[in-house]
Amino acid sequence: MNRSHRTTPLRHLRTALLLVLVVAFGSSLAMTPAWAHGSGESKVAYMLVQQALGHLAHQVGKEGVMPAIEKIDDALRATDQMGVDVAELRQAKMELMAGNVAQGRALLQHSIIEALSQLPPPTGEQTGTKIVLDPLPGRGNLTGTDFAFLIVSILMIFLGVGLSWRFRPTENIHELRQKLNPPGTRGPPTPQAN
Amino acid sequence: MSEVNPLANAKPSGRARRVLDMLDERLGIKALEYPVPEHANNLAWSLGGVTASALVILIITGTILVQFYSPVPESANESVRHIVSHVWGGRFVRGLHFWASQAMYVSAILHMLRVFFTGSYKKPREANWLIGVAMFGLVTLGLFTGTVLKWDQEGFEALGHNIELGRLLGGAGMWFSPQFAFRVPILVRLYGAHVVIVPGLIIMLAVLHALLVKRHKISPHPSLSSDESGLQASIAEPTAPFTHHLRRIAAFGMALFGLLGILAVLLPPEIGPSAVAGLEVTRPPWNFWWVFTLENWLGLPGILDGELILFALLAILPFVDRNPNRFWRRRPIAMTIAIIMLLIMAALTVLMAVTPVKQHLGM
Repeated sequence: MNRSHRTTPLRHLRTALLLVLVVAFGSSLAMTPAWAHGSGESKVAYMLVQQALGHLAHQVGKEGVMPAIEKIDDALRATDQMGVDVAELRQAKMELMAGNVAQGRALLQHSIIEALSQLPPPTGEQTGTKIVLDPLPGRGNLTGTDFAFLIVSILMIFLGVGLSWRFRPTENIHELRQKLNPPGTRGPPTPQAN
Repeated sequence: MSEVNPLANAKPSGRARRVLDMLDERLGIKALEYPVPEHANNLAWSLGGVTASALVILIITGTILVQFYSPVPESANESVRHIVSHVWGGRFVRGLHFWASQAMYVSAILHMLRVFFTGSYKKPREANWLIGVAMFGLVTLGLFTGTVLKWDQEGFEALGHNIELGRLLGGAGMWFSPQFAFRVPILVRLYGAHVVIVPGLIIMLAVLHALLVKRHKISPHPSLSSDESGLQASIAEPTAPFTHHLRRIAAFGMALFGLLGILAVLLPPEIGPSAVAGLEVTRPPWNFWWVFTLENWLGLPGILDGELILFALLAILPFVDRNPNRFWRRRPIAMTIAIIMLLIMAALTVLMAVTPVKQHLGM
C-alpha cells in the first residue's frame, strides 16, 4: 500500500486539530482584555459597607483598616444609601480611625441590618451574605477524636504498605530488563515504524 | 511461558474459594482475571489505580458531606462551618475530602506524565489518551466547583473569574452565566455539577478507560523488549491476573487513605471569611496558580488561552508525535518540548506564589 495514501486521513485530522487550536487561540486574543468582576465600583452603600467588613475580615489588625475606611468613605458618598444607618457608619469610621477595630466592625455590621433585611432571597451570583464572618482556622488543639483518627490512619498506612509489599511483583524492572533484553544493550531493540 | 510470584498466584481456598466460585457463576467476575504483564504491577504503572482510589475516597467522603451541606448562598458557608465545628468527625471527613481531591489531581498528573514518558499514548492507544485528558479536565472542574461550594471569599472570587470566562466564551460559556437560569442561584447549579455531573462523567469515562486498557492491553515497558509488532509486551514477560493488579492497587489505596487521614487531622483546610461581592483579595488554589499568573499579565483571556493551549497540546500529542519509539532517549523532540512546558508551568506557579494578590477591580 502507498504510504502517503495510508497517512492522509491522519494528516487531515492533525491539520484540523491544529486549525482548531489556532482559531480558538486567535479568537481569544482578539477579545478585549477583561478582568474578573468587570469594571466600576458599586454605588450601593450597603455593598460598600460589606466590602469594608470583608477587608477587616481578611486582613487582621490595622492592615485591613485603611482599605476599610476607603470603602466607608465610598459608602458615605454613595447615591443609594437605602437601609443604611449613616450616623452609625460615621461612628464606625471614627472607631476604626481610633484603632478600635472590633467596635468599628460591630457598628459597620449593625449599620446595614435594615438594608440586608429588605433583600429578597439571592439568585444568580448574589452572595446571600448577611454577616461577614472571620475565617475559621483549620484546627485548634488535637482532641481525643483527632488522636483516634491519627492512629487509624497510621495503621492504614502500615497495612497498605505491608500488603503492597506482600503483593509486589516477583521481579522488578531491573531484573526483567536483564531477563528480557538482548545481552549488552541498555534499552529494547528499536521498533520499526508502522 | 510465564513466571509469577507464588504468593501473588496463591488461590483462595476452602470457603473463600466457594464464595468466589458462587459469585463468578452469577456475575462472571473471573473475566477480570485476564493476564497483565508483570511490569504493570509496579507503583509507577499503578498510578491510574491510585487516582481511582482517591476518587473512591472522594465519593465516600462526599456522600457523607452532602448530608450536612446546604447548597444555597444564604447558608452554604455557615453549613461548612457547622460540619467542621459541630458534626462528629466532620472536620476529619472534610479534611479527607479536601486532601483526596489534591491526591487525585497530583496522581492524575503523575499518571499522565508516566504515560507520556513511557510512550503509552502511542498507537493503538490514542483514544484512551484522549479519554484520560478529558478526565483530567473533569478533575480540574471538580476542584474548581469544590472550591466554590464552600462559598467563602476564595470560592466566590473563583466563581467571579469563571463567570467572566463564560462571558468571554460567548454562547459556549452560557452555562456558566447567571442568566442561564436567573431564578436559581448559580451555587445550586455548581453543586449539581460537583455532586452529579462531574463525578458521573469521570466514572463513565473511567469505565471506558479501563475497558480500552483491557482491549489494547497494558502497553509495553519502554526499556523492555516488546513483541514483534512493538505494540504489546513481549510474550516472554511474566504475567499475573488483572485481579492481582487490582489487589495491589487496593493496598496502595489503603496507604493513601492513611496518608490523607494524617493530613486531614494535622492540616485540615481552613474556611475563609464570608463571601462579599466586589472584593478581590484572595489567591486561587495552587492548582490554578500558573494560569492566574497569565491573568496578571494578559487579563482574563490569559486564563482561557493558557488552559486552551495546555489541553489542545495534550489532545493533539498522539497525532503529531508519530515516532514509534517509546524509550525516552530515542524521543528527544517530545522530551524537550515536554520539559520546556513543565518548566514554564512550574515557573508560572512559583511566580504566582511570590506575587502579591493583584487587584483587578475597576481595571
